[in-house]
Amino acid sequence: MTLYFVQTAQLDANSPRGAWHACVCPGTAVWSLCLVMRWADDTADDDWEVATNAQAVYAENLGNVVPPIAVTALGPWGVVPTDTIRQALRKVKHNWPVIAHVVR
Amino acid sequence: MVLIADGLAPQSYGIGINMIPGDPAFQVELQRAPDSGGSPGAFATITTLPPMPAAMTYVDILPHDNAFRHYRWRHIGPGYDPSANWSAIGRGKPARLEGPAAEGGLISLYPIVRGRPLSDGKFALQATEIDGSTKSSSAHNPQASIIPTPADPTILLYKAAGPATGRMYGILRRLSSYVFRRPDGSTLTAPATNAYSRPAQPTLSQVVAGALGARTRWVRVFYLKFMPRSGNNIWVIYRTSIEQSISLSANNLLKVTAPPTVTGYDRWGLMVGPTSNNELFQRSSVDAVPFGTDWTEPVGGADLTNGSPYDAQMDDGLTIEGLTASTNYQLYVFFDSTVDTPAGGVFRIGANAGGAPPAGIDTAAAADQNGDGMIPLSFGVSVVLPVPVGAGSNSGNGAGNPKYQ
Repeated sequence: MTLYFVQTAQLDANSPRGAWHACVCPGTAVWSLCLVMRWADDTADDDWEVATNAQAVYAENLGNVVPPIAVTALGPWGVVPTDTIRQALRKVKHNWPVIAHVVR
Repeated sequence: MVLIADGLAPQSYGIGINMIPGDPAFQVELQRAPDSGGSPGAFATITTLPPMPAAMTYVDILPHDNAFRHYRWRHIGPGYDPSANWSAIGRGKPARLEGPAAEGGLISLYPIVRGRPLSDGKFALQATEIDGSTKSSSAHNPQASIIPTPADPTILLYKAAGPATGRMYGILRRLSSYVFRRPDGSTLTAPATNAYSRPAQPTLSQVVAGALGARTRWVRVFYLKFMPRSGNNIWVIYRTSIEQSISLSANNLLKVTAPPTVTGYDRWGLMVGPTSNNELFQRSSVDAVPFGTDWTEPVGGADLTNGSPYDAQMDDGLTIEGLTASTNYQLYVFFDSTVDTPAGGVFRIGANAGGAPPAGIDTAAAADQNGDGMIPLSFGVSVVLPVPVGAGSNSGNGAGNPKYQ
């Protein structure tokens, strides 16, 4: 299971091969969050990341401060510049419960 | 009947005729004909039997003359013309009768015996169809499992969006056909959702009525299927049409001509809007319109406030509307080949006990997808539809457990 930050147009043009959920970011429709629950095969993740330039949110980075684009994209859901990625995702969870699989 | 020489017991001869009613609600007329060079002579009615719920045997007591007789039967009933379809003709010679058969007449009314092979060497199931197949699961209850037809719920793409709670909508699409493989090796193809029957651009007109001012209205129409147990108040929308507009004069009401009937859909419905691509679903009970009936705008005008709005993806998929924001709907999606038979069948969505799309695990909806003749896409929920907050937009695909994969 992997969470990505991906451009909406790229996602629309290249759906992940597997089971996935996505939401358009409320602050800018250019970006979407995409949660891939499972991949259809061993190369589906690599192929999709190359095709879309999607940025994975890795667990080891959850303690980092959110990047500025995330504040813009997720600000309407209460994300502020001082939030860690974990804190931001908890705020996202209130509006996109699917992400409960990633952050608790 | 004759007495045998020892005088201890009567002995009789006759011919037994086995009959299985084609319709257990009707009486049976049985005829006999003498033999005429190997063919039946003139038939004459020998008895009329009451309606029989199962197979029966009638014994025709005859002299012990070793002569052939021919028999045929048909259904009759008070108030009905006698059936024009006689049974096949059976022929036999009198044989010695024992036990209850010696009394003659209707001697046996018995359950169908399934422990005896038919002409193909196989045994009778509880067939509901005239070709011996069945659409009832009852005969399969001892099997106690779902027939293993593999399926993958990730084939379905979803979109959930809308302006506000109560006006959110969810769309399911599958843009190429999908082949189900049955355990006997046969296949069944589910057509792409954008290959379902789509009504043509609607025909609009106006009728003199009401007191509304001049206005322009845009309209799309669609076919619909009621959700189970919804009381015909909640429906799934299939493929919205191309829009059509009309300039309505003051004191006139919009009239929309009904699209042609398509087998399996329950009714047709429509969206109405003030401008292009801004139509809203009309969702009162009278807005699920019977086939053959045109729709006329209420005197207060079309509802331009409450329905979910049009989305271009609705042209290619199936839609549920009027959803609650910030809710994860649990969709039990299944294939039903009896709806939209020109296309080859459609995907449907199971409903909760109240007839609505379930927002949680729901056994009623699960039962719908496992219903007779249906092919579920998963053992349980096949698509989790995370409806966002108002003005949000989510997408994804079916993430339920793939069935047998």
